[in-house]
Amino acid sequence: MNEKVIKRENASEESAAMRPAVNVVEDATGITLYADLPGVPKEKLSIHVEGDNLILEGELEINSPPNMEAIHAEVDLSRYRRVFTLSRELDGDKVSAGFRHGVLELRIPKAEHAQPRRIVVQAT
Amino acid sequence: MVKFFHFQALENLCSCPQIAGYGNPASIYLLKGDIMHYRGIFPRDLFTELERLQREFGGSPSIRGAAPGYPAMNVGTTPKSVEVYAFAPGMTPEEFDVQVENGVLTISGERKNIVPPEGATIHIGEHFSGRFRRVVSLPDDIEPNSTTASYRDGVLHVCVARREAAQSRRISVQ
Repeated sequence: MNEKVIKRENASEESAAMRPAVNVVEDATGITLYADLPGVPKEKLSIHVEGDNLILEGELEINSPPNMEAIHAEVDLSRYRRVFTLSRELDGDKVSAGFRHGVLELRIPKAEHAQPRRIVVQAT
Repeated sequence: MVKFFHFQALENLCSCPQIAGYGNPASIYLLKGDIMHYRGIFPRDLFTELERLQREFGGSPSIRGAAPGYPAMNVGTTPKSVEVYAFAPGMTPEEFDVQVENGVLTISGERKNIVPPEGATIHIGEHFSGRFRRVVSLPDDIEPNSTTASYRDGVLHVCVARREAAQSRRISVQ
């Protein structure tokens, strides 16, 4: 029974994550997502697409002095996680990303068939 | 009478930015009599529950909103320093104004909004933008002239040194 309790505690620890604030902007050729992930170094950032889901994860790395005593903490978890569902016209294979000063910029283009196409009206 | 109450409750909700952000009609409480009944049916997350409790017992929220403020801050101390971390992404080091005056540390600046291209649609807009300012009162033993600040991965770290004299010294027993 004890083992079960421990396992559950570990699981909840693993799932405890902060939800990064995002901005999502759509234009004719795709979607751009900006996510606030302050405290996450580039190496600790992970972005993956699983089926229809876009999963953003990041681990905080704050190099505080080892003998520091925390007296006030508004950021008290060590990871971020947020999942988005991609709609079908978005091309999950062609996601590109940039990361600067704690802001992730993700570009998700629309699939070829969903790109806007101008149809020229022929004069007859 | 009942209608009037509805109106008031909604107005209260709208004035609180955190709750407005949820945008979930299911979490809006209108009539006190219904609360017990609803609670049993829809279990909610902890934050919604806390907000509900605050509304029920605490009455009026802070004039600065329910959120602790932007940027989020962590503060710690060591025998030699006070360490302040401000989680303010999307800035450049020059855009911060950090001051220590009369034993108070002030961090202020402005986060500029991302300008979407013309004709684009904003689906989600959660990022803070605009001017911000947060204040931390420091202990008496600080040395304001030896304050350092650095900005890395979207976190501003301010380190304020403390005076030597205040550091505990081990006294050897003769």
